[in-house]
Amino acid sequence: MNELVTCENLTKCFGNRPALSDLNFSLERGKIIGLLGPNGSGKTTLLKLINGLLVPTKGEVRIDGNLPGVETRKIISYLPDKMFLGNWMHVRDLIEYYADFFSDFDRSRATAMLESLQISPDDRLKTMSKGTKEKVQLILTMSRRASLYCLDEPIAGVDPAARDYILSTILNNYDENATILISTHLIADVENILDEVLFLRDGQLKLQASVEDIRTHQGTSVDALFREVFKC
Amino acid sequence: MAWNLDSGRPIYAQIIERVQLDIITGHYQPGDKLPSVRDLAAEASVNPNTMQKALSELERSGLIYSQRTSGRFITEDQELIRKMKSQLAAMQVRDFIRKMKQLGVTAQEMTQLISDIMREEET
Amino acid sequence: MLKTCIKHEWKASWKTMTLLNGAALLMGGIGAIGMAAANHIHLPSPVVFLYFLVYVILLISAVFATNFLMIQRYYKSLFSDEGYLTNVLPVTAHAQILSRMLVFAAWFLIDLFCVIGSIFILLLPLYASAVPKVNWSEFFSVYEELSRSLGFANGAAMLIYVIIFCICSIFFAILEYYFSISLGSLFSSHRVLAAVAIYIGFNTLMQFISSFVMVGTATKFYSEAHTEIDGISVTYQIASGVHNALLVTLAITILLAIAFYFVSHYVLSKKLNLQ
Repeated sequence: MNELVTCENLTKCFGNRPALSDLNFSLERGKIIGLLGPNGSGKTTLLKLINGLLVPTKGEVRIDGNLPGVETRKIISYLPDKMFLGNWMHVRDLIEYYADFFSDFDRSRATAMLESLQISPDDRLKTMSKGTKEKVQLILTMSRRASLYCLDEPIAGVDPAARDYILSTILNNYDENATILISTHLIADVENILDEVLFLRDGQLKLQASVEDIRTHQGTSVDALFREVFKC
Repeated sequence: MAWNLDSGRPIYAQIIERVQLDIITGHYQPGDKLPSVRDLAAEASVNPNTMQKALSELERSGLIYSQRTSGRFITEDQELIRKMKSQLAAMQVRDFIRKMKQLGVTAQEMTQLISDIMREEET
Repeated sequence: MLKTCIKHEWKASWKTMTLLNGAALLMGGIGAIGMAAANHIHLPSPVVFLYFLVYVILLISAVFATNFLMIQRYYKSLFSDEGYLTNVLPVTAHAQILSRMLVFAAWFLIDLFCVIGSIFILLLPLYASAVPKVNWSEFFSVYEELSRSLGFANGAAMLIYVIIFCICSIFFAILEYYFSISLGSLFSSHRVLAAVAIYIGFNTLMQFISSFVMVGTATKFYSEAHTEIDGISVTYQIASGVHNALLVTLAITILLAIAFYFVSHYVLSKKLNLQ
């Protein structure tokens, strides 16, 4: 079975307002997939559903055949678009925390990456800049040997140097059996690293295609296609 | 630093051209070992699967060969490299001629223009 | 994984709690030295007053801080941005709730012992010098009599009841906070405010109901007993009903605590909606 994530009629409503409606798709292993769509199109909601932070109103999502739960959390590494680390913690505590809870956490990899940024285990999160904190979060997320990485807007609001750092960190830690799902609205910045794209619009799946297919058959970049599909 | 890639064309095709150019310009010498797919992908800032596809394509053309355990190497077949070089040069010239024709430049004017500009460049 | 959760919950709270409890014990010790010294030298009364003021504030704030930390840990780690990590750990919602509940129940007990210990240390010089010997056998017989008059079989039964009731009350108090926070999180905005309102509202309701029930059943607490003193029949009342009322209170406490637990669990596992 090569399918890692499958959605069947996946629907999530907040009150009466549908955030995602009737999503049907599946994602293969070993792919870097872009989850693209304008703000408010349901990208974050979809990632939350995959991670079990929300329960679907209708339909289901399965990861490696399981509904979101303890088993799926063991194989999903999630980077939300929030500062999710306790500010009172030291880097050392964080590494300990990840190592205790995630059996796939590669401590030496995390330590090496932190060292290369001159972040010491004694550093406190509270004293770090926003940019550094974001890098620490990314390093912890990518130091797991997970089957699925869910990265929610990892490059939104960062400078070009930080963007390059983030993308190279993602590529350097990617192994061919894992799937990475990256949500973003900055398509031009990531399209070269994507295998496949999902276009979301108003909670509906508009397109699922391979990047090379788009370029070969449409003769245009994903970014240009996106602008065309989502033209106001 | 990420490689400079056009937005409209397939990425793997552009990677192939880039590696071919690197071989011709001597950035990679015959017999050199290529970096791993992962490192190359990270260097180019492209998807590792795409890099893999491009390298397989290059392998098929014979420009690089792989040894099961030790990695990928640039071919030592100088003749093949020379052939590729002239192919690429011919492609560029064809492109050039096509554009000149669009501008309405005749064949005679073209050769005149080339020799003039080359003389300018030399001085 | 419950053990790992407990470990990290402990790690997150031990510094503050140890500091507060240590300070409580230390202040008791300073007071004891002061009291012993007062026999020999004159201490100015503002100093004594100031000491007792600080002492009382410290003891109260130790308990208050435990409450605050308990609420803060539950809300912040599960329902704020930190929840984006806490709730994707490969851990069940049961382990999340239980680990927090057990760690803070332990802290409440440790608080209790430290407060009692602090007061004990403070009074140690007084006890050593002046207080008359306690007549323990008399103490026990009075205690025994009290237990029986409240309807318990014997003193041991009452002691067991008190211990069980204390522990259940601690769990009840913690879970009532968790319950309020969980329900508060269902609101789309002002979630903390909603939690506070639910907590106050629920407590008011409980008090209203319990006082209503108390008034309604107060007369049933007493039963008549007869005895003969010097050949004259005497009728008096014993509060045997208190025993039953206490058992009912315990049962209600336990049932409500269980309800609080399952509501919190339901919200955390099925109704989570982080912002």
